[in-house]
Amino acid sequence: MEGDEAAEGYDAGSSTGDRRVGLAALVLGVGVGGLLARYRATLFPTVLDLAGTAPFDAAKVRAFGLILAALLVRRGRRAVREAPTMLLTGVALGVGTRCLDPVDGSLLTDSASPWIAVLPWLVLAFVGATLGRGARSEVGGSRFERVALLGGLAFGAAGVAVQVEGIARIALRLGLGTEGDDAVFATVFAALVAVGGAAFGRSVPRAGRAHPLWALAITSVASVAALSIVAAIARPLGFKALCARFGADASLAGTPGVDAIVALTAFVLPALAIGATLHVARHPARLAALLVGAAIGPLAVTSMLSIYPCRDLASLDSLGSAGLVRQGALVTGLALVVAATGLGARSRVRLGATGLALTVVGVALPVSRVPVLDPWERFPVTPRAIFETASGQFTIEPAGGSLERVTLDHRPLSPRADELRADSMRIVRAVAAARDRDGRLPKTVLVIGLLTPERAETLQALGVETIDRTAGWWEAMNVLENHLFANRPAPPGMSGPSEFAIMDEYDLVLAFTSGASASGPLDLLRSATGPFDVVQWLDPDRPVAHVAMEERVLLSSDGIESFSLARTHALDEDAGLIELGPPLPAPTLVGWMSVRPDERARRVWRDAAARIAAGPSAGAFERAIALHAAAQHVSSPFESATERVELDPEALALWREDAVSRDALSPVQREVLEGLAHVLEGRREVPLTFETLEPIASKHAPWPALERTLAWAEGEELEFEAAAARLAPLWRAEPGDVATARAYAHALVEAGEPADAVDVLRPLSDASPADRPLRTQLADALVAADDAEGRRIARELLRDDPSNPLLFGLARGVRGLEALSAESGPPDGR
Amino acid sequence: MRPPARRAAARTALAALAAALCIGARDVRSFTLGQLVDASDGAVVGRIDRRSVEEVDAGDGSPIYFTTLRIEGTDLATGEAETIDVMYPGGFVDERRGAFNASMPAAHETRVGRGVVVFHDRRDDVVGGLRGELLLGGRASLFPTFESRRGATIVQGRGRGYAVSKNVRLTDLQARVRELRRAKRETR
Repeated sequence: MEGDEAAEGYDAGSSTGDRRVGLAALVLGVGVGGLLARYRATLFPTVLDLAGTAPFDAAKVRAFGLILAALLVRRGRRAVREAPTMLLTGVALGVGTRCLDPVDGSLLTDSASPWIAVLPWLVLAFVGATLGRGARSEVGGSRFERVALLGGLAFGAAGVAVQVEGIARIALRLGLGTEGDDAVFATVFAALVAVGGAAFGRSVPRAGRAHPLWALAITSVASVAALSIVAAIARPLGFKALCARFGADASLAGTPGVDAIVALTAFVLPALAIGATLHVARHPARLAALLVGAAIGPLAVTSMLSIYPCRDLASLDSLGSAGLVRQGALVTGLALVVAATGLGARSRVRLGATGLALTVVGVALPVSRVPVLDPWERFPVTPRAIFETASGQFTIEPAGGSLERVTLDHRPLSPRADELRADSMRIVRAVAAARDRDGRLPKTVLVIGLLTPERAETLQALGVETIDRTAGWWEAMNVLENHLFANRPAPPGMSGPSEFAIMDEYDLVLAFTSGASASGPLDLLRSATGPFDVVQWLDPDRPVAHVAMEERVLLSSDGIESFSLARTHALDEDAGLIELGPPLPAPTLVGWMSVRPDERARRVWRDAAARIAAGPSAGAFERAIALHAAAQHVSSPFESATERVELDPEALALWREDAVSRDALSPVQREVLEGLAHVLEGRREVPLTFETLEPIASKHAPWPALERTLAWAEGEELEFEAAAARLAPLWRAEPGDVATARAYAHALVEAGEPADAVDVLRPLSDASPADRPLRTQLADALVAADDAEGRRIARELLRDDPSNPLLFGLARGVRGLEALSAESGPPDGR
Repeated sequence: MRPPARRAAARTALAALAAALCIGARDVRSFTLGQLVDASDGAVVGRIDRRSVEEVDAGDGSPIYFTTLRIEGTDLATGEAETIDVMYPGGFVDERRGAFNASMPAAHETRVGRGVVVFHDRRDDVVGGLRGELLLGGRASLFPTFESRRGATIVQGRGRGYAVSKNVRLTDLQARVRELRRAKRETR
């Protein structure tokens, strides 16, 4: 850099200035940092944002925050010039305050929309800028040189912002995709920027015009290096090795400590370089140009990661976030070439050559995709497909049987096989609750979230004729639905959010758990107006007990193992809503993140249940739910699902007393009591089964599910005649009910009436010849009745399962053979 | 029934492996009733009076955890009153220190007050100098019991492949065990 290019029109000598300027810079920095950290949610949300904001909208909000920051630093000229270290330190502090915000919002979370919630930080920044205001100074050189320099800086910064966005997107997936992870990553990034400014920027006492451009070039190269680092730690072994090096437990990914380690490793090179760049930029106009560029970058990212109009997985070949690092280098390189035209001869050549080299890197750098597959898991699930859009990383994973589960940045958009029933129950509850005054169920539904074939079938079975759907990630919806529906036709009606601006045509807006890193706006449902009903099912691991909800929520359960809460709007009084008690204190983001990830869902439900129990009309049923939720804790992974459910004797007594005192039970109450029966049977709690269920079954007879469990308990007592007598009227009332028929037949065989059992089983087996368990039971009953047909059926079944000892024995007329070898252990390998 | 220890996870896994080797391969599989009677020093039917967990040094500095059940009851074969402490690998000393073990009985099966039948074997050095009565094969030699509404004690079978696969009346199991004991003595 020649001397004539250094220090034109501003004081680059001191980075601390006097105390007043330093304080002004600090206040300005804190305000700007606080502002930037909170400009993450959409400013004017609609119901369509319930499941997360569209990425371009989110980028616009962030860009708006950066533009505001640019205007503020332009105003705080003297502070920027004389105390850049304090400014960057203040920014880090301001960003860090986000970690102390309550979950789901900031200081004004309950009383204001997001754009008002940032007002205090805006005011603080304005005060700092005013205090740090000084004499205007121009960037030196001709008009062309100024334009070239500032334009080069802006577009160079845009390129770097694209690169950092690419690294951050990958690094964030090493957390759990919550807004807390976002806050911790941003804080570490800002702290590194401040350190970079202090450590490297201060070593350049008289920064010239070319210095920020050189610093940008270094930042761009550092970002390329950071990509290789983050790609290494995104692998399971790399992640675990990183955690081990810092003495951290990889299973605690998503907690502040592990997030900080990941952020530190991923961002250290580019963030230090960015700090140095901002420090040496020092002049308010240059700093503003850099901030404007940083605003442009993320806006461009949405189009860089766009997969539209792809319709199937096979045609997706995007490099995703890794590609952004390369594209950013290209942009920065070109920007440097442009900016070099405004410099002196020697610098022009050097910087132009460097820019060209970066451009070549941007074009030729070999980059491959960096998929992130739950590296903290011992055995990460290998997805059947993985791709990226601006919304995040989508995976399609095997989820039990032929089912596939879709995730967005590790957060589920659809259920696993063992969650299907709970998912279906939620739909049934929502549709039933949206019944109109004449008792008609909704015909037109707008689904905000992923429509799976199972969800479509449930909705159609409930009489829904039109199922439109949308989500913030709508761009990927076509690809996902085409894959999930495979050979089946998906219902028409899928599109981007903007086409659903008028929603009067819907009877029900149904939002599933979001998969979004930021939650839906808190006051949205309160302000929503329209003739439609809204039901928003809440994420199981996101705290809700503190939220000032509509005081009434919809409850759904899958037995007593899984409960779900939905926020609602405009449902009728008789929709079966539950009134809530007063909100609990909100946890801070960092406080909530400190809870073990595998403990979060349990904690969320425990607090929510406590609030339900504190509701004005809560009774024994609700109090029992709270007691049951409070009794749950971490169990051995070697226990079965029902063994892992803890039973609180007081809760069981309350459920029993409540059920016996009522003439009729609500669907949720019946679901809970049937779930209780299922758990009692799974845990083989015989005396407790009689004590709890017998009075309920007597009061609300006939109740087949409870009667079957009581018959099972009688079988455990070896009282098979009593069990058969209990089941006989149920079977006579509904002989086609397979569960009842099988239980009845089992009791008959054990009671010494195998011929009667054959009569019970044969019609069902004839109707479903492919049902092997049913056919095996028939063979057993026939063998017990000394009928040769039993041996014949067993031989048939044995052909497909030749190592089955039970069938082997039955084929020879021997019942209950447990092992083909006397030395064999139990079938579960224990 | 508490969260696994964090930093000691790797050490605990090694310790569990060491314990499995120390305890002997025959203790981590299941038995037929005859094999169980052969392999055990005795069997007790009674109620769990106390449950405790202790941390033992596996010998290489790594911790290993054992749960001890105190059972007050009677000898299954002779009917004589007996109180015995039986242990099995796994359990938690507090919320952070402990380990789950695949062979340990489910928590609800070992709650205080629960009726059980256990088959046990005396060991002078289970691991790290620990000695006492070991629950053979963990859950494979612990069978919950309950009293039916008619007053009979029922022993709950664990299903196919376990020594007691189906529910039986305690009196029937006692008779079968006495018979097997007699056969065992005669064989010797």
